[in-house]
Amino acid sequence: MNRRKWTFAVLVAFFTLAMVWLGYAFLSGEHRSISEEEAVFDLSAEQLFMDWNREGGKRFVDQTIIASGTITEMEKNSVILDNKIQVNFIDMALELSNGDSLAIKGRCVGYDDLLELVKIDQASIVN
Amino acid sequence: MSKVNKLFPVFMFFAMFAHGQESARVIARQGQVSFFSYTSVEHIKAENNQVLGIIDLTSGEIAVSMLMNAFIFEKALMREHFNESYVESDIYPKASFEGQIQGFDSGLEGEQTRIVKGNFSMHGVTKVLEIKTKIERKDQIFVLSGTFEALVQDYQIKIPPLLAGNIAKTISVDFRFECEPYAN
Repeated sequence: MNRRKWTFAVLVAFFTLAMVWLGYAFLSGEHRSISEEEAVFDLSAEQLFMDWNREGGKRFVDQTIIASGTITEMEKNSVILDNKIQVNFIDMALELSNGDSLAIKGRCVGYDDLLELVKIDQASIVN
Repeated sequence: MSKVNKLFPVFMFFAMFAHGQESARVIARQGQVSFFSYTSVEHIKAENNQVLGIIDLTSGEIAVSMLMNAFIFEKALMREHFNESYVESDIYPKASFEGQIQGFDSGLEGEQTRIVKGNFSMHGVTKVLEIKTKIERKDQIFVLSGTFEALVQDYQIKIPPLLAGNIAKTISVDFRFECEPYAN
């Protein structure tokens, strides 16, 4: 009888701990690591921009995307590819210059209708 | 040759000169907007480092546009709640501000504090805001910064009673835009 009680107590303790741990994991929640995620779309800056304007961008939002193009403008750690997409890199110090061609992987944030650009953040260079 | 034709090169010369002198617009593509919610239960802070701001230096008009999706939170779950339940970023993906800097003197080197008045739209609601803004000019760079407060209920953001204690009724918003001359 005593042994049974002990087993029960241990089980309860174990169960409680598991619940607490699960609850904590759920509440804190891991942030995504875009650079380690598999890309859902792989297209050119031009194509992404065209698709977005033709069919709306809902299917791109929050997805991991590989996009390629040529740098047309730069600001701090942000570059614009082919005047169609704006890419914000995770890395602050990048050795890039206007005219460089590159492919990046990042998360699609949305569309900015003031400058008419598709925005991508948390980007890293893939080639 | 008519008089207009004779004067045309002169006009062109001045037009080019004026253009080269100072670009009429400045832009910040990585403007920063952050907000804070302080309650006894929880402090919530979020940052958006991808806010677009454009200022017309001659008219003092200002336009700001930010994607709600780009806010970074300490916890992934906060971000999820923010986007899905509160600001509903799939329906209202962006917030924008369009206004004017009152009594703006773009030629003034150094610091000036001005009121920026305009319409702020978020979550489908537009409010007129008057924001005290510090403007610092260093050569061609204009840095705008300031703080204002926003009432959650003004923007029809519904917070479930269970979480009412976790989120402040008044949210404090900080912003900073470092604007460079805009070529186009």
